[in-house]
Amino acid sequence: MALIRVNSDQGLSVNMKTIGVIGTAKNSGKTTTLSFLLKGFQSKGLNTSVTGIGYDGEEIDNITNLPKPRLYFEKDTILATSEKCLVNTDAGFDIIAETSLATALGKILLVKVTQPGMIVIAGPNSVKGLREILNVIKEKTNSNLILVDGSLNRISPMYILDKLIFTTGAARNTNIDQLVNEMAVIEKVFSFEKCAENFNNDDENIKIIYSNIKLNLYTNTLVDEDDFLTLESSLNNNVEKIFVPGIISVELLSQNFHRIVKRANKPFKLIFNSPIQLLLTDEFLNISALLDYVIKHNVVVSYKFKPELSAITINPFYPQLDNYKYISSYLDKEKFLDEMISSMKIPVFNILEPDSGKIFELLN
Amino acid sequence: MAKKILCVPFDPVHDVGIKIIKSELDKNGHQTELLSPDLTPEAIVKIAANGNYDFILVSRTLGYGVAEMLARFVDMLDAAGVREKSKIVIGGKPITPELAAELGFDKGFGEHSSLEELLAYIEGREVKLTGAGLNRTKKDITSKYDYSFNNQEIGQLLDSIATKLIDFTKNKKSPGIERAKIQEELFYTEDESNKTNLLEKYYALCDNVIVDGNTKRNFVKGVREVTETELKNLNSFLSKSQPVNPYKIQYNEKQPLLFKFLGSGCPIMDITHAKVCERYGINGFLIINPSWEARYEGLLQGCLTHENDGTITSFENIKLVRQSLDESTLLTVRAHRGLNTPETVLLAGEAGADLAKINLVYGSLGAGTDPVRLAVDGIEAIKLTAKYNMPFDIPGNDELSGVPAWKTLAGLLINVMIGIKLGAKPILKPLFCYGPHIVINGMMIQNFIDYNAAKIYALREIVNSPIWPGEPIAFMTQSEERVQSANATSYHASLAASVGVDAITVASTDEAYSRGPICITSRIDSIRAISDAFRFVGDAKFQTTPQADYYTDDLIKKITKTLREVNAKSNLTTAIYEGCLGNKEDGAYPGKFGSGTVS
Repeated sequence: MALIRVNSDQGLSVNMKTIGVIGTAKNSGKTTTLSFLLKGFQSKGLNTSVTGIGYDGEEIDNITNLPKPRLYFEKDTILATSEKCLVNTDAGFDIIAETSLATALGKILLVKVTQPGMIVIAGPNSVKGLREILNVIKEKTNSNLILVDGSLNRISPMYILDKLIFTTGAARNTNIDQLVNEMAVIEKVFSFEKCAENFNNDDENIKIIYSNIKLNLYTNTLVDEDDFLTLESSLNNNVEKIFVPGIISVELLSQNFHRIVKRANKPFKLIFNSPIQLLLTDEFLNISALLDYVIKHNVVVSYKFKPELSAITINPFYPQLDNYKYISSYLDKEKFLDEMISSMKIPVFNILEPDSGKIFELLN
Repeated sequence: MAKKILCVPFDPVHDVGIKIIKSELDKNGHQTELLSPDLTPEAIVKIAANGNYDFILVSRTLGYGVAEMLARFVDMLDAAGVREKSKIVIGGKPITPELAAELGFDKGFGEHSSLEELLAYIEGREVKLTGAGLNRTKKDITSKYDYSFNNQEIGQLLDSIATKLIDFTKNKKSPGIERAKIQEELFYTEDESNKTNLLEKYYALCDNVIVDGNTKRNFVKGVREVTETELKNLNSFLSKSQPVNPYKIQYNEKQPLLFKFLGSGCPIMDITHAKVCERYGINGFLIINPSWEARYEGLLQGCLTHENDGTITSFENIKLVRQSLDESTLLTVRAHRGLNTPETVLLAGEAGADLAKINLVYGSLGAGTDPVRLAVDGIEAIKLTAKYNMPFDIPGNDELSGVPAWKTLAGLLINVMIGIKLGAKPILKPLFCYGPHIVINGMMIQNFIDYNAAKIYALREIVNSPIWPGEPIAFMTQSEERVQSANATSYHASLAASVGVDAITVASTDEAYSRGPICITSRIDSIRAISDAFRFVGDAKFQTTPQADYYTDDLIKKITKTLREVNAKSNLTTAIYEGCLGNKEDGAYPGKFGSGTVS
């Protein structure tokens, strides 16, 4: 077994697809969705690998004391997980490679399941780490597909994947209208296109692009008045594109975007790193309002990285406090699904329902 | 090489931890920058993104929604490119490696992490295991005592009582003594045919239940042998589990040692609990045997377990426990309960135990053995403790039956004098408890301090002997609520520290309510509570009221009166039969096991 020094600059195989499962909250159905996808893809004969961007090993929910679904892996599944997760497992496995990456639970190892069982996944926790692990899987296995499990409400590393599935449900909010509105914002954020421009991976700072010159600012964030002044003072009416690779303050931009519009004095392109970057910044409804405002001023929004939002899965389950203990409760699943479907352009599934197999047609 | 570190108190109130860590990092030559605790996540991300930090240390307590907030903060750092150049670390009391991984941090440090672990991580080196192992030496509780009597009358009475009992037992035999002698020969016999002969003689002195168990492995219901796999797993656990940075319970050298009971019925479970307790600073353990064992002549052999209270007394079980403990950890084995007292002490001595628990009076009154049988067996057992250089501890648990404290203390003192005369090293174990006689007669209406302290003061005025309150302390003051039990135990432990005793025995917080084996967390409850109590008290003392002086004088007078009554009888056994040290009205009855077996 060799120690693999991973190189983040390597591109991924065109034949290998990556799908991430992102949760809007704990208990929103990530594990159930990932298990469903894994079983479905493996039954179709795809060589499937699994990793995750965090850790979700609770058999019983820490807060509610209710049982949680666990990930069960069939023979020959490839996993990238931390070494401490392999200490207590009923599955058998062979270590394929030991990577140079580590999480809080030790080195990340690439293993092949030799005897079916449950293994907790704790994979790379950053964009850089995820990119590196995907490359290791590509280099060391013949996987056709890599599934990436989310963790809690974390989303940041997922923007480098090909396709994403968002899970939402009653554990986040028991108000169906609000859940629908939130998902509508996510759909809107993902509706903008990938930009045509090629940026290098080391494009760390904000750039103002004119027809004949590219200005690099000394910041990659737009979170306070200083950042904004730096941007504003560098702008003139010849601006064609503004690239913001780091995080933004939605509140700051909402209150001051008119100053940029005034300086530019004509339509321009606003390029963010990815839809994920926008979703990180604020309450979903505030993000939506900002985008509406920007579009109203004929600014064209696009992304450097643009994974496809392939589907939404819903989970009507929620833990309800009842007489000093949590019990399993459920929203009206038909109503929840119908309202989501009627409000979204993106396909919506309750993967515990019979027709959810259609999700594989979207992901193939 | 010095690292550049951003210290982030991600909490408006609880920023003391990160300040301490910053100070320690500075002392170790690192370049740190401490942010104010009122910055927004966006502002922190900007600072982190614009500085070239090697590490971002985030300090945070957890509460509603904080996990999600921290996860989002990690995502923001990631999106801002901070993770390309900085490791992101979280610290806080509830942080575990699993939680750190779930939230997306590169490393997490919690309540049980040491500064050395953090420094090693930051400096990219292996943790120096200077804290590995318990790094302590075995204590001899008896070493500073000469057993001189300050109270001459009591000394003379005890001398007379002890002499008469030793004379009474001279040339008397019991099956227990005979078996101990055979066992001793078995330990040192190489010859197989001689061994077979000795075993035959041994079984001839045993009850059928014991013979069947040892010869046919047909055991008492529920008893079975520990399997090879269980032993293999135990060895694997022991070889992998080295205590790192163990706690020390005592805040100063004068504070008492802490003992806990082992008696889950399963030696493997006992050892597992003991290893955790060692990590939390426990100084010693007492192996408690099952009640059914006391009724039979003879002991089972082998590494045995059963789902019942009390761990089976066998050489293999005692040796397994002893070998599994740290060398510095003391181990005492209960010997006075039942018909196997000398043999138990012999096995304990051969297995390397450090002490044996023997009280000829309590063993006859509260533990069910016939007074004559226990007198004969007990004298032999005390001689064996002297031979193996094992001090013997004398629990005063007859007080829990309702026996007045002065009678119990008189019984303890009789054992002390017998021990002195036989060249052994006795240890007094008065109760620190809310016993039935105390409840009925109101000695603790004002407080729990005066009467407990008075017992210690009275014993100190009588004899210069080690004192180890038990058994356990705080008996009858605990409830099903674990926090209350931990508190009550820690208050009694504080008093023990204040009056300067040598050791104490403490229960787990679910000892009386577990309805089966106690859980390890409840053991830790009481240890941690006492550890904090010792830190709180330090070298300060409780101020007793004048009532304590009255109780001390009263106890000494009544102990003297009791000893006069005992001395007036032909020997101690007659005094016990006739109720001088506890009668039916007190709730004490002379035991019947082994009656008529002394020749």
